[in-house]
Amino acid sequence: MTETESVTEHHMAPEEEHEEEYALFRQVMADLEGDVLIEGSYVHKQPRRLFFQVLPDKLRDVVQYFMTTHDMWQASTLSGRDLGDDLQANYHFFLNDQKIAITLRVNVPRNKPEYSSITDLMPAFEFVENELRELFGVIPVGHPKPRRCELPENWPKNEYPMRKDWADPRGLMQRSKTTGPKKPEEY
Amino acid sequence: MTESDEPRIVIPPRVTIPIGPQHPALKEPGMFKLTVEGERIIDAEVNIGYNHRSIEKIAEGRTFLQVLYLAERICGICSATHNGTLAQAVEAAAEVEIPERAKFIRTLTWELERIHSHILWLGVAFHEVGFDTAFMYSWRDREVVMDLLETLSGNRVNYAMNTIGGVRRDVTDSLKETLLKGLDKLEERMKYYRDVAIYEKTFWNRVDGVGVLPNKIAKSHGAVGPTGRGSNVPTDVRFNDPTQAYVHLRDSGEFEMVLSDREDVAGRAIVRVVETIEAVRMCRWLLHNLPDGPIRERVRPRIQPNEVLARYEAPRGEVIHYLVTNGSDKPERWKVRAPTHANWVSMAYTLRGGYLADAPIILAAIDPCFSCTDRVVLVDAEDETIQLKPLDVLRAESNKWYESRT
Repeated sequence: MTETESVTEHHMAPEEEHEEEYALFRQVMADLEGDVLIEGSYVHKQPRRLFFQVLPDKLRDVVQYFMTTHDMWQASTLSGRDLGDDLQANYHFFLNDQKIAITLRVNVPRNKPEYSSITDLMPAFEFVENELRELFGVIPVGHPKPRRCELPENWPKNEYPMRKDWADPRGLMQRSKTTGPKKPEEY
Repeated sequence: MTESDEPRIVIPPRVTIPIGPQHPALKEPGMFKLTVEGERIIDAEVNIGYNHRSIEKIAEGRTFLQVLYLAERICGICSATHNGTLAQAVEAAAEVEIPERAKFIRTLTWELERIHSHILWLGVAFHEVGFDTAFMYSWRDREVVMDLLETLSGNRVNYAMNTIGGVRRDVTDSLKETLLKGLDKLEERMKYYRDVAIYEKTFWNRVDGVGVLPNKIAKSHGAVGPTGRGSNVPTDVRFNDPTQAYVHLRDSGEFEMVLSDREDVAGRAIVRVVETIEAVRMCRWLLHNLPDGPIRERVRPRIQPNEVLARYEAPRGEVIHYLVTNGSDKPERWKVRAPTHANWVSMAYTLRGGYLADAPIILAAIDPCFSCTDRVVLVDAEDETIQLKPLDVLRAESNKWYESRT
């Protein structure tokens, strides 16, 4: 994905009616200067949604900061994304005191997709971090229980089906797209 | 045989019992490795991922309207949940405001679905503790809400009520009367089941103090929905992060989050039963305050690039749809986190220390829904050479096999 496209994806909220979100956003950006990138962090137009772009090696510090300073305990989920050159891990949390959902995301390069796991800080991520490793090949280093989670036990190595360039060696996606009844000779 | 004066203390050996993925007592494929010492469970491990359907990957090749119906098929019980949450996500991505009446009808479907799902759970819980009379009674009364849903949407299971930009069917005045009448009956029956669950010893003695999930663990392990609220964790998206008509429901001040500090299976049961009665009241409030107007807004099929985090409180807990759009009519990335997936993490903790005989009710207490859990990649693999057979090929082969037999 090119830079111009990724910018248009972010819909910044206007200041009015988002005062609480902006107050939290400014506080976080001031407290975490250097750990959180300005580019990619913003307040979304949808009410109560913040997004932060975090440096991969600073993720643990940022999560600890939120846990101590903002009493963050509700871990929602983790979604992976394939951005082309980079792979992305989006950690979704919900701050129950401020009632704001925040997303911390890290970009890792495709040729070395590694960052340090936060499952030991928040055990709720045990399953989803395994899921991310299986489906996107992004490795949360230091995961306490790396094991099979979603894919079959005999799934071949180095195949990550949710990546955009997954070759689909067995032609499943092609065949699942059939729209009408097949002709008999196609069977 | 030699006799000894000193009594021998026999330490029972540790045995690991695998339950599942295929097991007569499990309705769906999950695997629980329980290590027991005598009757006590001392360790538990949860394995999932036996029924992948690749819905997230398939969705990337389909238009939003097609994905809407695909989302409905993630789960049969929560069909309106995923359908409505995706519609909500797409509308947020397109920055479209849907008509008020559509919001109310969407919420009404969601709440009716909550009633049917909770009564279903109650029946399962009664069944798991061996109280089959109450199981049959509660499922008989579940038919009332199933009929209401059928009159409302035309379908018993996959309601297909939502579309991108609103809802597909209107609520007429005569339908409103039918719904109100049905809700009265449901409320009366639910109050009876609440008393059965609390005062009937057959049920209560089996769930009291069983499957304890302390508040601290529930928080750190991310328990959601009635599982979390039964341990006094205030997570309810309807009140914390309301969308649709829940904003009005919250502002009316008549409804409150149902919490229990019992931290055991009984707490989860009370939360669900009381929540059902609340849901009936919510439905009635929605019907009485239903605004006039259109039920649908037109939305262009191509959605601007955007990223949306849509949340909704499903009967089992918080549902999250993270949708990234890229300007085309197909999603760039669509991630679904269904509530059961979040509840598995605390499951192993809850099982530890309990009796083996209590395992079924502890497992049932989170209201596990396997279709919630396994939905990422469909593979039907055999040994090293992976042969993948789509449904149509499989069907053709099975037809051939039957033909060759005759």
